[in-house]
Amino acid sequence: MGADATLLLPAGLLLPLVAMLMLRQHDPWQALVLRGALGSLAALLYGLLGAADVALTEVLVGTLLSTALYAVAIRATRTFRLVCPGELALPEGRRELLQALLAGEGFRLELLEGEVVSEDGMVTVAGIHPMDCHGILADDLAIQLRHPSLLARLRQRHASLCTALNLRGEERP
Amino acid sequence: MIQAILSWALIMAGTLLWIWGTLPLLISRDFLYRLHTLTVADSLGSGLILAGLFLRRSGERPLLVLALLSLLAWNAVFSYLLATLAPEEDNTDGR
Repeated sequence: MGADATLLLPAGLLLPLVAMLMLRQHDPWQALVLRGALGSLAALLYGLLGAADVALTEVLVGTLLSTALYAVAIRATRTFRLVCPGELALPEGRRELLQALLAGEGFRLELLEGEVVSEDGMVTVAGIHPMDCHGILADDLAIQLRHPSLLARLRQRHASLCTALNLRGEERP
Repeated sequence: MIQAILSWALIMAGTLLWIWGTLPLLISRDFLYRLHTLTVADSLGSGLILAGLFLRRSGERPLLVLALLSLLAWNAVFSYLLATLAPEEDNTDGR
């Protein structure tokens, strides 16, 4: 029994520690890595306690499946899509600036080019739902953000960059 | 006796492959190179360790075969998924 305790104790102590670290992460990718570590530690604990089948299930579902699903979900939701209508193009310098601003908040920039259409009074690119476009390049090269909460957060944290990039809210008819 | 030596040799070879595959994570090459070495060495190493355990633990053979099959399938799927999700600009970091 004494040998068992020496094996169980490190895993048992690391488990809540990793769980707390995971909860305190702001970057979703780092939280995902810690989620994988948490699942592996739990599997190790189950294995040490003699429940090999539970450990195998934990590895397959808790670590592999949930990590794969979360990776897809984070990648899909952490993308900022900017509509560039017609002949308008974002100058290289401002594109890099916007990329840096968005990267600070964990977003990836994606430029949408193509036939611009208006759906329900909202500008979008053909084939993409209006709510999946998060910004529109206006005629005066200002960047209109569709989500007021994102604009408010960016302004609060990077006020000068927002002014330099000419970020503003979308004008609804 | 031969079986015991063989199983230990397999487990040791698997562990060495694990270490060999994990070390490139610390060097700065591009993401896909690191993912490739990790996946190949991890699949082979885990397979060898499970083969070694298969020789030792005759009572748990169904579970070990199940673990081996799911490991091979999932390792391939998972690394393919991560490689697909990697942003293009990350492929050249550290160069």
